[in-house]
Amino acid sequence: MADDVVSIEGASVLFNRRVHALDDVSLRLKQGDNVGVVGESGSGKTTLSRLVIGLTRPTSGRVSVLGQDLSSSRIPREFRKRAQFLMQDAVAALSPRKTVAALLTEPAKIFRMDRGEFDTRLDLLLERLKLTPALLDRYPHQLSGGQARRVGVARALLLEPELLIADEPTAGLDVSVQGEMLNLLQELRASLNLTFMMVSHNLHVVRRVTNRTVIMYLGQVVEDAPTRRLFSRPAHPYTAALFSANPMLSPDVTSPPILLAGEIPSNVNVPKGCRFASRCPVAQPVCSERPPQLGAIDQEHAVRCHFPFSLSAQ
Amino acid sequence: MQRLTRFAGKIGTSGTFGFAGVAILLLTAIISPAFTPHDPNAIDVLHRMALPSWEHWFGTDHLGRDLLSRHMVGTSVAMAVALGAAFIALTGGTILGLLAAYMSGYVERAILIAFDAIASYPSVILALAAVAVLGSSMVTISAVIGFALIPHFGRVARAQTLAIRRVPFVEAEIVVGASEARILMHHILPNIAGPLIVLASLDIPIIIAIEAGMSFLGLGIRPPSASWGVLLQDGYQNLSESMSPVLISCGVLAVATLAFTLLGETLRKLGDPRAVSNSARYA
Repeated sequence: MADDVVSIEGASVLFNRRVHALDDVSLRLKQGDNVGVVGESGSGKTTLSRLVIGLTRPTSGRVSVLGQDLSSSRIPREFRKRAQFLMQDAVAALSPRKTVAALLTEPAKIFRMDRGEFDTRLDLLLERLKLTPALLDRYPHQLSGGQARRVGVARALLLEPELLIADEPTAGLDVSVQGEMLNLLQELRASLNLTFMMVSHNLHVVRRVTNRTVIMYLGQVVEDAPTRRLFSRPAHPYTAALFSANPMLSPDVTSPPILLAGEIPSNVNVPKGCRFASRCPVAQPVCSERPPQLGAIDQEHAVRCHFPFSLSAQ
Repeated sequence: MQRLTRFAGKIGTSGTFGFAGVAILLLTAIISPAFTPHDPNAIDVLHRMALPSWEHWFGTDHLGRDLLSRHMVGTSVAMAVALGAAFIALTGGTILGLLAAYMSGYVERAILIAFDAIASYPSVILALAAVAVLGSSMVTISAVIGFALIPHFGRVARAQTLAIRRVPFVEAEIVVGASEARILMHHILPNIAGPLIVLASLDIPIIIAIEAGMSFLGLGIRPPSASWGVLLQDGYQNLSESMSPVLISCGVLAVATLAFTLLGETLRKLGDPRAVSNSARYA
């Protein structure tokens, strides 16, 4: 569809011609979507977000964001204004020899914005982000993790983007500050009408703030569904196992957790059949033979499994 | 004054020595053409080879010339050559190093091969050969020594740039739309400048020594101009009569090189905002 904010079709990313960071990923985000991407380390979450922001190019497949083709062509500066990215390591994402003030006014300089208008917007944002003027003279290493993250948010939002990607926006924050950060992002998302994609390995966070969840495993999207439906009735055995291993998600359920045997396979020698077959408790012979495709269960729910729902309570 | 003492406290004894030493050297270099206690070329044979005294703090040489005045004049020569050569090496090396880091392929290979070619000659030999061809003047000596030291800076600039090209903050700048030139000038250069400036102040003693060495061998600044190397040579010729001129010339060279080395070390600490503010915050 032309009006999709993000449209990824069959995109793969190969590092050094052998590490399958992403393999045949398709994802669409509509204007105003609020999506969480969940997966363990090495599942390709960060690569996916870098793909959407144009920092990593797909080895094959098609990536189009805000009408801009990111597969091969040069990315125009105008695109940078419309799509913004919050990096996982907020302190390292700030140029170490610039003061906070210099970092915050940089977007205005880059895009030659009207300074009066820009300053009003900056003041408003600083107030909303609870960044005090005393912080403006500091250097990035003098900021706390939460402050650095808020400076990052301010820098991103000063450009008035339409799309905001956040890679682990709560990484390295105290639990008390995590909640504050999430509320803030959601508030800003709603008031600025942003399309928002958040990468996280924290199920609670994704469940609380997003309305659509994408589950990744070994470089592939294995399940994509509205958050509420996904958490109440996961279709993929991996999703089901992920949820059951997390007692806080279903405190009243007394059934024992589904324990997965073995390690996550390597990104270099990917299995021939289903990526999850080697660890799947309900795998059938066909699973290690033929790779399943991401298929739609209905309009909103897609799963990459030969036997969906086989591990969740029907 | 109070601020000066506080600064001295922050940089410590060796830092203070470095800053003060270099300041005195530069001041001497600036004032010596206009003022020296005696005429540096005035011959006074009656008082030749005098030991240090109130009249002649550094004593006199074999022609009775005042050694303090001659060393002061020599300071201008040494500083001009040192700063000139360091400037050439620093700017040339930084530009070529950045270029090598940013242009992969032929440009990078050509620059690196040129670095290796220059660096494979010992800089003294290269300087001697160049002076033999081009003739010796202060300008040629600065240019030649600076040229010989370009690879030194170029390699560091390239390595530093390669190391930080892919760090998160550079990518963050790409994401907010910063141009390649802006990233280079505003974000990469300030972060690689520290090590290069330190390298420059650590290389200045080497330059001073090369210049003095060449003048000592008669291939640098020509007598009667008073380069430190010339003064050392004069003292060496008359070593049997008195040790004092040689010891004084050596002492001046040693103090000057030490001052620049300590200055470099202190600049390194000051240039890194992490190091400074930590001591400031927890002091």
